[in-house]
Amino acid sequence: MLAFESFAVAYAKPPAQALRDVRLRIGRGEMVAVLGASGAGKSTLLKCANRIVPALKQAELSGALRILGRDAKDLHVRDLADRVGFVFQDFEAQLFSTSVEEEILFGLEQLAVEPAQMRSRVDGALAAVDLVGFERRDPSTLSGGEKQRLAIAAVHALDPSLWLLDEPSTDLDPAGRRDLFALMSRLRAAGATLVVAEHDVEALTGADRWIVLKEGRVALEGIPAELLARAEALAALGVRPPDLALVCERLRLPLWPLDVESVAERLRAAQVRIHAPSAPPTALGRMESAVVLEAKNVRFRYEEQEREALRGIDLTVREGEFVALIGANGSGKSTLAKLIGGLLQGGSGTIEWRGRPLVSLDAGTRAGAVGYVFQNPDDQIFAATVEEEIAFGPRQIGCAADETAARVREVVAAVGLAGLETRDPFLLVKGERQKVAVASILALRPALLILDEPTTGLDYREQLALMEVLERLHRRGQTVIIITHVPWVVGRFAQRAVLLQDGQALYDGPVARLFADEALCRRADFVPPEISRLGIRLGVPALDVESFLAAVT
Amino acid sequence: MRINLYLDRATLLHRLHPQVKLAILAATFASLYAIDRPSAVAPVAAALGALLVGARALANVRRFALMFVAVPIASFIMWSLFYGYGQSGSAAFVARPRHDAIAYAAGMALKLESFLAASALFLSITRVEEFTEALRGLGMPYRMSFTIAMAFRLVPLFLTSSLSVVAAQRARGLDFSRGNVFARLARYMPVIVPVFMGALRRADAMAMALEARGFGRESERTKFVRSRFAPRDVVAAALIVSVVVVYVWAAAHGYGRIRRR
Repeated sequence: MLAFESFAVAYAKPPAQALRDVRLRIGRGEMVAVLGASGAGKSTLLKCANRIVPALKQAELSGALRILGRDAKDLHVRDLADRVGFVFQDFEAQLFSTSVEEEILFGLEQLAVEPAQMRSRVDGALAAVDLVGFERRDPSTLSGGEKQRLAIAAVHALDPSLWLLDEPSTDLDPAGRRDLFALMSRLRAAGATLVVAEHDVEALTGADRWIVLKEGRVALEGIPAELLARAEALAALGVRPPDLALVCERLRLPLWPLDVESVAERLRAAQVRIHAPSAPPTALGRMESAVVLEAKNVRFRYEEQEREALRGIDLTVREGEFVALIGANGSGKSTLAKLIGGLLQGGSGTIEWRGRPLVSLDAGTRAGAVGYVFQNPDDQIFAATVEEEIAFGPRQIGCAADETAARVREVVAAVGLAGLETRDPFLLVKGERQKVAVASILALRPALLILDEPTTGLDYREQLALMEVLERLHRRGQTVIIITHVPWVVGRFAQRAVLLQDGQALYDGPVARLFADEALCRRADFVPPEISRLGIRLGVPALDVESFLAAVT
Repeated sequence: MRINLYLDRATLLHRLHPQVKLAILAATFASLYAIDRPSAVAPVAAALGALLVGARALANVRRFALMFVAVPIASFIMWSLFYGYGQSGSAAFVARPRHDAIAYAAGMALKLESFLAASALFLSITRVEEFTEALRGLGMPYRMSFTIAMAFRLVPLFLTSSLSVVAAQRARGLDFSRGNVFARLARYMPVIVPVFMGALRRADAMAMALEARGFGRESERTKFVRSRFAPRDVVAAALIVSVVVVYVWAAAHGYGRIRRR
């Protein structure tokens, strides 16, 4: 289906060698995962395979590429529309129509498919992605997972034999991600060839082959079982090895099959000794510290929405806590965080900051009370240098020049941006831009730092680097709330979890106790990390691989 | 959040042919272009109000309530203060409010309200695909028709993204209410840059997604459901043409205008 021979791609603006000497063959019916750190060339590889590069992104190509048996030089992206389907990470940017049905019809009409055939192709595509009954829905009102499934349905209707999926799960919650990977398995079972660029390898252990890129070259290639045995090498390439693979590797157990039940069985068979208390910690640390924020019976409804986004939430945050706000998309996490951050007003109930109503605080006091880092760093970056970007906040609240400079120096060191002060923030990679966003808020010295899905779109190394910054800040006494969908981030970094569902708090307590309650997690569509699920089966209350391994020998 | 302004309702107005829907919008502008007397503008404004109710589109009026209230009020105040300035030979900076200044200001306020109402009505009853079809029917090339229709669809998206950027900068202490008008305008720079960059990124991503689904590959596309003119369209078109003829004739003869030429 695809054959790359000594293939290389160089972009002109900004100058970058995206792919180097790629030699790769992908056969009919294969499912291939393309892995690697951000900037390793995953997206470029996929975009070359349907000729988006160079048709829409100017680049110098060398070597040879054959797509479906034809020389790529003779093909244009739109010529391939009915043979090579492309699914993008950003589901908003690939939906242009007024209804679900129109969205699927769009491609069929562009390719001049006979109207008599359209009904059956639309119905087939909707059935394939489980969106039957959604025909007249406005795509903008769908959940993230439904939008991505619709984007897949729009491609499915064109009946391509080769599918290219560019980080399709990045912006989805765990339920959306689970549905997406189940759908990919169905496509594969139906005979489609799938090439999937991803960060989430746990979901791709069933692929036929993994290809790991590093700086545009194929650094590792093989079947997942082979590559999982090289967990450290994967981590060095920016790929987070699955928890279960790390456990098997460290305890020298066979790697395959790599699911929770099988690994638990192998551990029992190996008669590993457990020397840790089997009861998870039930108390939170820092219960004696002062209450900084107290929200009582908070209710909120957005204009035009019939349902309340928040339905009577109580939340108390103490100084020095690290709280993870979790729950499916639409459960009310961001709404609650924005109310606490003073970015949304209205609703009912009370929110107090150190005993005073939050709304009564003047702008300066509030900036020093709560800082809010938005999910997308590009929503705030505008300055010409990193330094200027970070200095913006302190200047707005009236800091003098020397005070501003001192704050910039302090936060640059705290988040690990030293050496990048004079760089243009637009030209940094996303992980660094996210650090700039965090530093910009930290420069206001907020007592409570709220971060909305700070790891979205970052590779493993970037995620880890950012979370370690937060961990360091937390150790120095910073109170932190993160909104996240990433189970391992919750397990490894947060002490307390607040699980929301339909605008209500379903759980508020230690992370370990939540992870131990599988029925509750299932009810809220939250999937605890594999290591915790493995721990439950063996009576080990584990939040991450290290704590699990410390408890077994 | 709902991005599209189209409201999926089963009303007579929704069932009109896309070109007739476009004609209602065009007719509003054509009829009121040269009219400024409130009593002459009022029937069109009232008719549009009735059509909005008939199309069950008041949700979009509520959505842009601020615009529906602020634009005519601001226009009324400005025109009642400045109407006639520079024409009466008065040296005063602000012309004194006079009877015809108030009438003109009221007429202009109603006109702007009508333009807003006609636009809201059009976008509430017309799908992006119908808009493209209507423009194609007028002989516009497909790519241009699609681009214009998409631009309308993207306006709410652009507004949503702007609100998100404003919130992000407010979280960093940006206060838009401080200082004089120039200082306030300068303070919008941290909003304009991210919004502009975001729009460029989105346009880039959308272009890739469109091409990947075969946009513009075939010179002749097929259509699953092609709109056809029905008797109701003929009646509606006749009504629209009558209104435009009456208003254009009235304007040409100086009726409906405050000052005759």
